[in-house]
Amino acid sequence: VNCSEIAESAPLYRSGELDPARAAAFARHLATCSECAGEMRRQAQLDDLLRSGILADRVNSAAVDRGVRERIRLELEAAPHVARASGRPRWRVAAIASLAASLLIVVGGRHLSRPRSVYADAAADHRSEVVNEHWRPWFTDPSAIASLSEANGVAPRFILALAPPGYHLARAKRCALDGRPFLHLVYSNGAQEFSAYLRPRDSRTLAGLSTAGSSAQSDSLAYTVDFGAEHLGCVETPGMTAMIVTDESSDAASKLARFAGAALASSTANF
Amino acid sequence: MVGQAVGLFPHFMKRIHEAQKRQDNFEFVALPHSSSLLRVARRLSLDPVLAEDLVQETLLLAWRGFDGFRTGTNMRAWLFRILFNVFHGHGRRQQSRPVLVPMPVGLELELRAPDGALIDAMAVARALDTLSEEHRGVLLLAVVEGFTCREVAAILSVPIGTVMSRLNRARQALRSAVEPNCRQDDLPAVRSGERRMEKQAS
Repeated sequence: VNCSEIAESAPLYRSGELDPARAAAFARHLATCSECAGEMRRQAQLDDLLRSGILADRVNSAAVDRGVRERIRLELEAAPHVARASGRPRWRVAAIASLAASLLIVVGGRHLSRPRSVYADAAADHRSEVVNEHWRPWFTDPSAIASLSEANGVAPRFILALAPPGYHLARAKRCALDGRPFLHLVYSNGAQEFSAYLRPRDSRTLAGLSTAGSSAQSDSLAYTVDFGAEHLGCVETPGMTAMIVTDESSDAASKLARFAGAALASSTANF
Repeated sequence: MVGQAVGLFPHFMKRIHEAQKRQDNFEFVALPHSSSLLRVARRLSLDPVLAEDLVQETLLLAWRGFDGFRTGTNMRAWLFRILFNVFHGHGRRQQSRPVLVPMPVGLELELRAPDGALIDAMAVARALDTLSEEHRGVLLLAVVEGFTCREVAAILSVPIGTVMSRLNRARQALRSAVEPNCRQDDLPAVRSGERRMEKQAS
């Protein structure tokens, strides 16, 4: 057995699928080849980390289970009537079946029309209010913005820290995205403007994932979402949730999000 | 009319009883797997809302095919096979969804989980999100869910040799995503996976 054969059959060795003779040859090679043995050890460590990292992400399947039970119940209610022979009283069957069908449509409709995402709302809001400049009652006075920000649970130091070099906070207002209140801030460098949507972190991530009671609550996330002409850079720290929206580029969104992440982290650390 | 209805009654009750038994059976053997299905669906789709839909769809299809399911066969592997089929079918139907492009959580972005012990594992878990769909799939099945190569091959409907080489490439890709000093240029197989991701994102 040579080293490349070892590397090739490593997945089978790991899962215990090699036959005894080949497994013994594999083990003999590992005993004599420190390079392959080290490689196997490093991969095993990485596997362990991956497994514990993924399993640390606690999932709650209660809603899925409930949904499945409900759909099964509805299918069962509709099912016995399908196989019914002719000449039997049908009207009741039809009534029940159509009731079941309408329930299915209602449930199915709710199931299929997923909630509008917070990302789509943020992109549309930025497009309408900042790019197309539809008139909105903005706050522009710094002290008014500071008290608006405080009233929304966002410490004013955060909104100042979010301005990258060359940019200043131009205006602010309160808005709702996907049914949740956000503080909408617009930063400008004279030529370019971008939006920042801020809210204190709660038990749901932006994507709607519940983190209540799980370790994910104390975790930080940073990612970008491209949404048509709008580019979102999202940062979720243990204390704050921020979406930066720019119509410039995905790269710009990523840079702004990194800056915001660093700003939020250091503002938290300093106070 | 009344007589007919009364005559039907025992038959009707028997059917209800059988259906109830079938449902109880299904709930007993299938629903315990919903958490691991959901965990994998989330990492596969990178979209928690979509993941719930995928798992619900998977379990419903499993319920409809439950009569064809022979006891003694691997229920867990069967469910995962359905999940992957549903996921791939979904990808073809919905091209217009916004693409979540996770950023490998940067060291330049000094954000850290307070629990020091977890940080490495969390970083590895996040690195998984940056890999191609194919690589995420095999790693989730083989490493996280502990399926054998033979089972993974059955779940993904590919030859076992493909599973082995895909697993090797996925492990390399994961390692180079975790260890930034291990350059991706050294791994041609990984690069082709990335191109696929870019294509999906555009």
